[in-house]
Amino acid sequence: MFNNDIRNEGTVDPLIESHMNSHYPVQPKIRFIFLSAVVYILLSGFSVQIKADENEVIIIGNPDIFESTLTKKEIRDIFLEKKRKWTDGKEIVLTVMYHSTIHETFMIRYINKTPAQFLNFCKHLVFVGQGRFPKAFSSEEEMMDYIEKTSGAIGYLSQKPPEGKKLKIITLTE
Amino acid sequence: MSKTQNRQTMKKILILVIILFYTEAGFATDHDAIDIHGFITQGYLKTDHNDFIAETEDGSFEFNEMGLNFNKRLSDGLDFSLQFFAYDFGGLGNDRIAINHAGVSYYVNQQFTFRAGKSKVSYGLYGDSRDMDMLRTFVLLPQGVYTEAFRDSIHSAKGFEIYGSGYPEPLKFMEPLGEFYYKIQYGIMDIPKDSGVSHVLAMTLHTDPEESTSDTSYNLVLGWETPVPGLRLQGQYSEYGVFLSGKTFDDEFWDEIKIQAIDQLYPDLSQDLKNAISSAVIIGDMPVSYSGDVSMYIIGAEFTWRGLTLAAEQVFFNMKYKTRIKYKAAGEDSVFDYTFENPTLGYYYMGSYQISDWLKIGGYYTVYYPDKDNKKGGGGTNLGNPDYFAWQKDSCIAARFDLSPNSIFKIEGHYIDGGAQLDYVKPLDDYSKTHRYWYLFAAKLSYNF
Repeated sequence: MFNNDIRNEGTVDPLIESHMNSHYPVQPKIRFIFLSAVVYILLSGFSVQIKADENEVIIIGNPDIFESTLTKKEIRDIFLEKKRKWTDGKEIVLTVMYHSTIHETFMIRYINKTPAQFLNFCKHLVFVGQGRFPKAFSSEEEMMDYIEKTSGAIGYLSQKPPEGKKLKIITLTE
Repeated sequence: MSKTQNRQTMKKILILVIILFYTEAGFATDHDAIDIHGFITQGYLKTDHNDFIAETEDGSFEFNEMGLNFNKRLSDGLDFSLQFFAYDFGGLGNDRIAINHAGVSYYVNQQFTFRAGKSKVSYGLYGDSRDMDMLRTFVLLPQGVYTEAFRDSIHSAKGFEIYGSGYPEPLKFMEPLGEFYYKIQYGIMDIPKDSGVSHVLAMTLHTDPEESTSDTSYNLVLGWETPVPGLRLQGQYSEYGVFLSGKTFDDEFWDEIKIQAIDQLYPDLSQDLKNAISSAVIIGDMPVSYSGDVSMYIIGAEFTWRGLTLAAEQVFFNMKYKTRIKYKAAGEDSVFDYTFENPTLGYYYMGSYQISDWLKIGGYYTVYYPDKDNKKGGGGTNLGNPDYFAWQKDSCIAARFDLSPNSIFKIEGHYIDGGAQLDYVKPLDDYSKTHRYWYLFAAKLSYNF
């Protein structure tokens, strides 16, 4: 602390030291119950996420988007608001469908976040003044209608859009 | 807590509960409108021994936050944001409404965004979001790195910042190495005399503060999202200047400084003469000023895999103070210049796991040494205090319940060894009445929209 510091080496009371160093035996039954609970918790979390991985994801955009293909990293950069403009300079407009299986699948597969982590990420950007929430919808129909009408909009579906919808299907490249 | 305070607190809780159960707000944006979002929290703290910032030994509701946010896209790439914020934590905040951030940012491309105005200062992995309770598992961030007393001063600054990530087109071939991100901030922080930082400086330097200001600061952050999915590493270096003036305490600490100073000035005198000089010099309760240069680095790592998050960080502060103290020697006024150096160290290890949409659990272990060269107490700034004021080691387990997308309830328990931060905000009348080992219970209800 000081230029010519005077320090006293602290001593620990032997009683306290022996208390700190002691090992409490954990009863095998309690240990078994605790470990079983941990394993159950871990597995129950994974089973939901494994199911989410099996679903199909179609990335769609407004037809005026210049890009026809995107890499997984580009999709991640777009949804994490790192990349905010398309190659031709148009603003990227994000759309999501919270509380849906397709949202969960999309998040885990492309964004490497759980839906809760993604929502927290968006809240972080908004509350520190560095971004905005994506436009949110409760059905794929609503999302498709919005993307069709909005320049630069991008989103995702669980199946190919019906014939007649003016939407661009964006292909994933390596 | 008085009956009036109790009634006000109960009213706040009642309003919060009504909001929690009768509204549901969405997290969406209307493209051309002004986005308005906000949050409100109410916490409760209880310790078995020792008051932690508030009067927690009796249980305290003086632990709440409110924020209101306005965001507007002005044109392509140009954004405006403003946040009003108020909080109360014992003697900190006291529900005064302040502008947490307000500024305009211009996005040029992924590698370059410029922002001017008042911004959140990056501090470690989670510092810029510490006011947003909804973003983390824990009620209290690990105090070894995220010292609560510093919160009101060093987390916002007026000035400008630039930030970005990724590679420009000619360097895209480097993508397999992972992605780098950076942030450079330059500006001035507000450190009023009743702020936590000012309190901490005053307690560390054994001084009653009268005035406190700060110099321009800069902050450099460099991060690396490694090729291992979910693993990021971050390093940060900052420098800022602080000025504090006040009066010295009349205590053992300043007596020791006096003896050291006489030793430095008159090394060849006999001990009898040194003692004679010492008794003629009065150094306690005297005007003193500090011009301090603070440098800080933080290194951290975070790994996320699905619902699992692991993190560890270490912070190192080095404070160098040029001290000018007025003193009386045999009735005559004199001035003495002295240099302090106070290296501070803190770190933590943290883990959390999202079990389901509504439940997340976590734990951490955090350590704080206010004087890293004096980890066992008995000397330095801890002179005259119990040894256990030289450290604070905190083990915490926590559970977070997401009652809805907008409302969260958290509980956590802490087992703490040491009291390094016990006198940071609330001066202690009698150190001998404190306890080395203590428990802290925290609960918090929050709503955001």
